[in-house]
Amino acid sequence: MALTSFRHRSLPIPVPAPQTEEGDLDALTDGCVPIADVSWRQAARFVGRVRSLRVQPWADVATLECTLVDDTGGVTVVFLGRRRIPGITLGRSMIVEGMAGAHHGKLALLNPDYTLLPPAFRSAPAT
Amino acid sequence: MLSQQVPTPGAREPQARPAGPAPAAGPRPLPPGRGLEIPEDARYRLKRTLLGEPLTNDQLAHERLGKPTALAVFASDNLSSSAYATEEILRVLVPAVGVAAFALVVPITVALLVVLGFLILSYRQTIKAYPTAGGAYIVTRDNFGLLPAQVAGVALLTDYVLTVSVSVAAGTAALTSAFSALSPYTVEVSLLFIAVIAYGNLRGVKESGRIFAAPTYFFLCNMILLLVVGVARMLLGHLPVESATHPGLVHFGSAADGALFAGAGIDVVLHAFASGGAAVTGVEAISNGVPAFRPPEWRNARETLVVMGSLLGAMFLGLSVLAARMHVAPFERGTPTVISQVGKLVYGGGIAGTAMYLALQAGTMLILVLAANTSFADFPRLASFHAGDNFMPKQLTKRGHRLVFSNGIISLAIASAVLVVVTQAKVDRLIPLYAIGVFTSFTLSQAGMARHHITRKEPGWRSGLFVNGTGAVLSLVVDVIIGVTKFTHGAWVIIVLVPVFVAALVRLNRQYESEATELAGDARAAAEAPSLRRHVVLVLVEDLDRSAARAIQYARTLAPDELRALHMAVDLPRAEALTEEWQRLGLSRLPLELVDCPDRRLTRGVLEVVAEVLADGRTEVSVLIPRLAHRRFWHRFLHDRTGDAIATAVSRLPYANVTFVPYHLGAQPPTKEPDHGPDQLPPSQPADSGAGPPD
Repeated sequence: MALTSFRHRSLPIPVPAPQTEEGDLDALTDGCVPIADVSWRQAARFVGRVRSLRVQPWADVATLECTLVDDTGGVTVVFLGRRRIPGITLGRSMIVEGMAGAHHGKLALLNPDYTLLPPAFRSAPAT
Repeated sequence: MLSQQVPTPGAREPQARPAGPAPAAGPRPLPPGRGLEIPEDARYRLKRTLLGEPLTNDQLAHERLGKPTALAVFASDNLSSSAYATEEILRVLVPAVGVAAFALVVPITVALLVVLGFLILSYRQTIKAYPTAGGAYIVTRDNFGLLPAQVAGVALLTDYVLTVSVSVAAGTAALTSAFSALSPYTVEVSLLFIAVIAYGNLRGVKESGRIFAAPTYFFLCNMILLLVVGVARMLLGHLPVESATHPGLVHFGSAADGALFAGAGIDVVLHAFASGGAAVTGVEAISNGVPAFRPPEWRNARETLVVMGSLLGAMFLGLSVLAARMHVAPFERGTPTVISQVGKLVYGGGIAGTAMYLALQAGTMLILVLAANTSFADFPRLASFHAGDNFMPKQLTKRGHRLVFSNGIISLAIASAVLVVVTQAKVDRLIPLYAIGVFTSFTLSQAGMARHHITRKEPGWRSGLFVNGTGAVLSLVVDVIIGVTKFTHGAWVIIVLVPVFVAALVRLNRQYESEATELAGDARAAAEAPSLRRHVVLVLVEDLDRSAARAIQYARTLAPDELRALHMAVDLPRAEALTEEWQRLGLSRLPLELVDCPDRRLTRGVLEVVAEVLADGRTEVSVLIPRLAHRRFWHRFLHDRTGDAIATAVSRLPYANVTFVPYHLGAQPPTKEPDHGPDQLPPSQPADSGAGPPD
């Protein structure tokens, strides 16, 4: 299909790896898998960058839905009952750990544990 | 504002538009023209000013040419040949055989006239057999198939481009030899001539015929006068003889006795014959243009053809005889021309003689320039035949503002202008390229006619076969002679170019055919196939402003399975501000998706989002792009065209559809009650009024 070849040609955007002052990032990211390896009904721990955020209208159930990506793929992360979480902004990297399930037919982690990594490439604005 | 009504026969009086609310409720009569005022843009106004009012389709029948106008339009190329054919023959003969040239020029002319005669007879058959759309292309296509037709057509098209360049360059040469101050601007003057002729033709067939008929007849009268005076003086026996001692004359060869009959002599004669072959070019013009004649087309076309042939024959022969009698030789530089020398000698000195001489010069210049007009009449039509058979870009089949094939006219003007610039408007560089294409197409079309007679066996087919067969053989012989004798002088360019062009056209045709095959594949089943399961509408939002609001309002009418606003976040603080605003306003049931765009490539970002939605293979995506509609042309330079770039990129994906939602700057916003006049609007409205939910 045309779509596949088109996807094939997309070039990754180089984003510098987050750096911590202590330099213990390696310890934090221990046991993380590439996002492409996250599979349904399996526990997963991975590092991802927030690529998109969905702002829900007031009329709906409060949810914060975001897409985390790395070089291998993307996955949806949903925080139910929240409209916003300070620190979760576009371009922010974080470590996510939880059980992979589904949300609206897409592979998603519902209310996972998360660890925000220090802002790396760009400083996130105050929220 | 709607002053530019489409003119129809018996133009309607624009009625006064009912002002203010109607006195009684109920539907009002439609306003004249359109329901909304759509002012014509400046470009169209300019076009109307330049080209005149548009012609409607039913006027096509009235854009036909009567015989006198048709003679001027289609014969000027052919008739103009008489102005230089004798000279071309002498230019080859004189340096080779010296004074003996004057004995040879008349026989060679007669030989060419025999060819001309047969071509006229042959084309009479063609016109009769193909009365609606004649010409080499159609005849060859019907009898030999599409590929030979491309050869015939391309050969002819190349020759039309050359005709324009040659005739304009020759006309300019005539002008600059009269006014030497203009000679540094030869190329510019030539380009101006091309522009003027193209412009005249863009105004319509009939109109260009009217514009360009007078010069053609002026030339004809002058030539007839010249020949009458010349022949009369010849018969009375006091025709002066030029002494061959002018500086600048071409070098006189030594006419060694007997050399004429040696092999070398035949070579020279053939070369001269080939050079004179240019005289016959343009014969095909009428057969290509039969549909432009008034009905009965074929009869009118045939009569015009015969008149044209007789006129050309008489002028060519007369000029050759006079030149031979008076021993007029061409000059090295090309000026003064043979026809001008003949004129000077025949008319002699004196006021009357000088006046007649100047008139002849003017007429010659005009006809040379106007020979280009014939090409402008034929090239677009021939190109449209090619395009109609999917061998040339489809744009060439479109009739323009004045019912002519405007794109063909413009293409021809550009091609010939390029040629003029490349050759610096030098006639002698162009002449060797000339005539070979025409004779190729003569050969193919005559052979096609011969085959037509053999297969159809209509009454009188034997004589037709004889005429067309002889025509084909003669054309082939002339073509070979021209190709061989002029090969090293530049004819090789054409011999190389024509196959290259034909190959290009065949490639183009393959593309068109494959497109057509794919598009034609069972359209009904495709139309009735089940639609995709899901429809997702994405509204691109840059800011929460009225243009975005308008797009959101429209998006709600689409009733999609999923609707969301999409903001490509290039600037994070701005994205944050938009989020705040979105949440504050609490737009009902419309989520906003913020997508990180760290490399600032909006187009690519949108493309990836859309591709992601499409990835499941059962989703149809509509991307709505708000776009500002500006009231003044320069306003749009104040904004970039990102939306257009996104649209172009997104429509590369299958099942991704793009809709622009215009926001009309300066126009009154829509109201809830459409019956209110615009002046009844409240002076200001909250910013989200347009975006309010319809329910």
